[in-house]
Amino acid sequence: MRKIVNFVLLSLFLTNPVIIFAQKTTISGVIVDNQNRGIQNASVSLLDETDNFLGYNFTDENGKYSITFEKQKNSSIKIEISCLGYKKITQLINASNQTINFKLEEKIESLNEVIIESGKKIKIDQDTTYIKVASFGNKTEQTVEDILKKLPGIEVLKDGSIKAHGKTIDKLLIEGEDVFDKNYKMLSKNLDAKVLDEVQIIDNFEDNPVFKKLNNSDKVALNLKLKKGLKNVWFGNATVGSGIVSENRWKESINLGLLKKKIKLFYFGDYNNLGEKATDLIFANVIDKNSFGDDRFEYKAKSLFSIANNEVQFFSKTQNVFNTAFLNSVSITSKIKKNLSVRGVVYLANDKQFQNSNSSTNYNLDNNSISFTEDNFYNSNKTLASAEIELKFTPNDKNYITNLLIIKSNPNKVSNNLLFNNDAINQNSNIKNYSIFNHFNHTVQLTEKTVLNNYFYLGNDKINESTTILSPFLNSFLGFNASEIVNQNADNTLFYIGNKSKIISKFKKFDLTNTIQLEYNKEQFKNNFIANNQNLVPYQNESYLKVLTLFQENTFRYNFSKKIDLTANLNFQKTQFNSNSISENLFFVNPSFFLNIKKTGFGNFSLSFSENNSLPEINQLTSNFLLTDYRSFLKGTGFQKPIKSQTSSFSYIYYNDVKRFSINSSIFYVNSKSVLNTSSNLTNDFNFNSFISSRGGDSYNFNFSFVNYIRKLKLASKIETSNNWMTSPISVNSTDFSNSKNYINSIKYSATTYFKSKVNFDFGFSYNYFQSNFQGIETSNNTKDYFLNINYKISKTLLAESNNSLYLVNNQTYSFNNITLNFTPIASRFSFRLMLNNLINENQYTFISINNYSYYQSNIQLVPRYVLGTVKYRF
Amino acid sequence: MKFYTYIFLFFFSYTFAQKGLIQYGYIEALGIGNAKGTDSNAFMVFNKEQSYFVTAKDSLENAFNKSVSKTFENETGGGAIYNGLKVSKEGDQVVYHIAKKTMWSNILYGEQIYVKELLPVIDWTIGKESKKIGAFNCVKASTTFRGRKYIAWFTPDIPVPFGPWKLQGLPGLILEAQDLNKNVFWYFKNGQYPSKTNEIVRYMTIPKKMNWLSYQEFKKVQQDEIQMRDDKNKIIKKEHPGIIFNLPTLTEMFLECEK
Repeated sequence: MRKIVNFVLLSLFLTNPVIIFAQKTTISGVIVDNQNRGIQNASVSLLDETDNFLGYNFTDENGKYSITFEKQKNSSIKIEISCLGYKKITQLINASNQTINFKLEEKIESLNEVIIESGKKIKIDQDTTYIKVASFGNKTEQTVEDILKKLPGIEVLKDGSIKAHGKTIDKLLIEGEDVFDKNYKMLSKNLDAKVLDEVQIIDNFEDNPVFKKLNNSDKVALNLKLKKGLKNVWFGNATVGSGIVSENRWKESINLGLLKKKIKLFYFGDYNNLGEKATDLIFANVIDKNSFGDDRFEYKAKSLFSIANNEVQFFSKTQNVFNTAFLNSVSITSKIKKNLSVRGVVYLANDKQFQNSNSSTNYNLDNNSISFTEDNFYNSNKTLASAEIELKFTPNDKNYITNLLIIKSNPNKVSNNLLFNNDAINQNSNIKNYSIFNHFNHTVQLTEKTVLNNYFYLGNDKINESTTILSPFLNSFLGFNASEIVNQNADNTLFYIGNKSKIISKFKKFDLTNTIQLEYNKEQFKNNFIANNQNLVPYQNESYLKVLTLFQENTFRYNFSKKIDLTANLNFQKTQFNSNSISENLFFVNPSFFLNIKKTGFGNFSLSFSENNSLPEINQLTSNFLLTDYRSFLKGTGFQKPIKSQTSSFSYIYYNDVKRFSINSSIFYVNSKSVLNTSSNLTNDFNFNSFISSRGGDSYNFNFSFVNYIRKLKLASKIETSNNWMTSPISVNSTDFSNSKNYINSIKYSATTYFKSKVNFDFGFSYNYFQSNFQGIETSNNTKDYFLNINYKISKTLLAESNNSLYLVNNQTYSFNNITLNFTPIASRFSFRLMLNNLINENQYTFISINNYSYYQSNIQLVPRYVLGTVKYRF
Repeated sequence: MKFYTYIFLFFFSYTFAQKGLIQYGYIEALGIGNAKGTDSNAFMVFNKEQSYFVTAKDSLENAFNKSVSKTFENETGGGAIYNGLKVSKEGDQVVYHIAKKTMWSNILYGEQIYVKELLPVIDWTIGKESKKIGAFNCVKASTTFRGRKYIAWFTPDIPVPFGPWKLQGLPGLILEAQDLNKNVFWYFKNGQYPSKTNEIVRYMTIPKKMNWLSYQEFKKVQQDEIQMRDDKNKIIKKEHPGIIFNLPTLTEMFLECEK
């Protein structure tokens, strides 16, 4: 009732002014057929002389119509009456209020129009998701990486690698161009965030245009789109930063970019001592095996001697790494011709690291216990210089040819002058490493559904290691003077060459790949051990390994339905194995299968199983003991049988949108049928490890996480637990292997608030528990930590972030408090940032690790309190 | 009684025999625009009394299109990923009966939502522009309807007030329609009148346990969906820390996006 009243009032209100101000004309009448019956739903239109619509209506069930329109200057107008099944009437009438009736004559209609056949569609092919940058970040971001961290669907891992839509990205493109290939960290960690306009996630990414036609890539890439106005001009920024309080910290960097249609160029220069390492930005070698796409094999020779740097992985790099990093890189892509492009990258990275720590170690064995202390003064200077050049040639739309050549030089100098139980030991290692890798790929489309890919690859990797050790213990063990310097020189080389051909076929319900691969691998592992001008033959080695392998591999993916698919893979391997005068002809089969059930009403399931046979590596095949660090020797074994393991996994993911929670869980089981195990003989001063072929252990993993959002509290929380039970055979000062049982458990809780205020919080805790049981001795250990982050948006240009964490480790507490202030004036080329690191000035961390039979405690220096102010100028 | 009504309606639609069939393509690019979105088949059968429009219907799409995953981007930010086309057995349907002044419709949004409403009166402005679609002379008309600004091309050559989806009320059949940014786009493929198609100008049926919602109730469902999406974003954020989400908007989620 009330509605009707409202309606009446409303219509009065609306119609009254119309009556007062406008001249309206109404034309009405009845439309009938030959038998004078009213025609329903006939269309009546009024048009002016240029056929513009003045008004229109449809007749009611009695054939009546009425049209009101605004009066025109012209006195005559056109009336059109049409109805399906009747002839159309057009007539000129006076533009005045009148009643006018029409009689329509019947007509047989026949309309038939085809523009597009019904099954055909307008073609739009896009595989990307755009995410506009400004809508996600909060303007405190410094580099592309900081932006990426904040985008939905993108994760940046601790080491800087990027995941999108849950997968590690294949490439990071810039304006659609692949400039950095696998070393994209150089781009993401250096490119200024402010130049970014959009980030695109490209699902089913495929670089190779011929493979792309089959549309079965499951790779993901990101594409960075830069702001408009950056094309065809040089752009970049310079940052100057300096420690203001107590510590000498700095950060200087220059970015330069040029984006033209035919050429794209980037220069990154960076010099800082904030803990991030420059050499970490570069991939050592890439091994990619892909059933439905490109492969890439880059093998490395084995290095021998190592000097530990004793960093704590537990903390962030800015908290405990004392490093000075220097990076210089130039990268260019250029289109030489329409179908030929070239990509080149040259870089030089250098890290100088000083890391001090002291530690004590106890081996608790049933017969005797061994304990010692170490004071480490680690010092390293690592350089990595490299050039890579890639040519991409597309002669026509059915062929795609690429060649990638990579040359690397990697000289490192590492020393550690330490005190071992108050005795001075000097160790210096000078390592030279050269690598060359070449990858040639030719992909050709054979038929609409079949593609042939030929991959020819070769590589050479050389490591030359020269180590000098001055150790009274080593000298007393070898029977020399305490001041004698021991030299170990190692020359390890690896050469490999191979060809892999595969045919990928796509059918309606399944995909099939058949591969044949032939590879030859030659490796040499040689060392001299010299002291007192003598070669000590028992500690010298010359091992070689020649492996010729023929692989035949078939992958079959069947899509039962939209929800269920199964991938099965069978790999046959025929190998001729030659090592130190042992020659073997081997044949094995590596099967794997993967079942995926998606989007059922109660979640997604996946199940996988694989069996893997592999061959020992050259450093496991040496015949004499080698010195691997200042107090450890390692000896290989002759080849006995392949290494074999089985892996099974099950995962379950469930999202419930209505009840606002999600569950993510997985079980993972590894059973090592045969392994190369190390048997250790520990003395007060040395460890003697030797490889022995034995049955392996097994390991069960269980992970579970539960995320929910409580609307009333505006709180999202996550609870997660991970558990690992592991049994592994260990032999320490004993002739037999006995099982060691370990259990690791961690429980984490974290929560985030979504208040509408300027302040929001992020907080949580975690609990880690470790337990081991070996030879009847049970040990356990636990750590706890808490964190609280506060985000405070003071004003549009000023933003404060405070990160606080508290660690409870072995009854000790450590607290880290950092504050970052960002000031970004609107419409200015400058921006300012103040970083307050380690406010409470924690300066030492005690790290304890307990495993099967050892107790290890280490005190590590932490980066002391500092304040760093930086100014950035963009041009 | 209901049974007789159906019998009656069946005869009603059958005796009126003369029916037309229009096949459309429907591109949905909500929140993306520029018609960068999924492309579904659609058709409309009509007689002088009534129209029946359907899209996102399982039987209209081939197996490949239903399962192929596509991702679409937009000009100003955002995008969408589609794991295949949205389809259901009955499809997203709209029935418009002139004399009853009523519109019945359903859409699949997680589950089927059924709406029965009084005929929405669309206030069209008929412009001066015209173009030919095939042999048909079409006139441009524009309007704002349920949160979007539409442009429609109708042909006075087929004098029925029908059109794709809920667009109707012009002095001729709408052959092509889009909103301003082409977030939605219906395009004409082919048409026949009279048509001997087996498709009948039918009424909608509703499963026993479901209820017809009014348009107001439907708007409430939309708000619930937004809230649910927002909550879900917070859950995803918890799993992938560091992400900052924007609140989803109606425009990005629904064809009808009136606040």
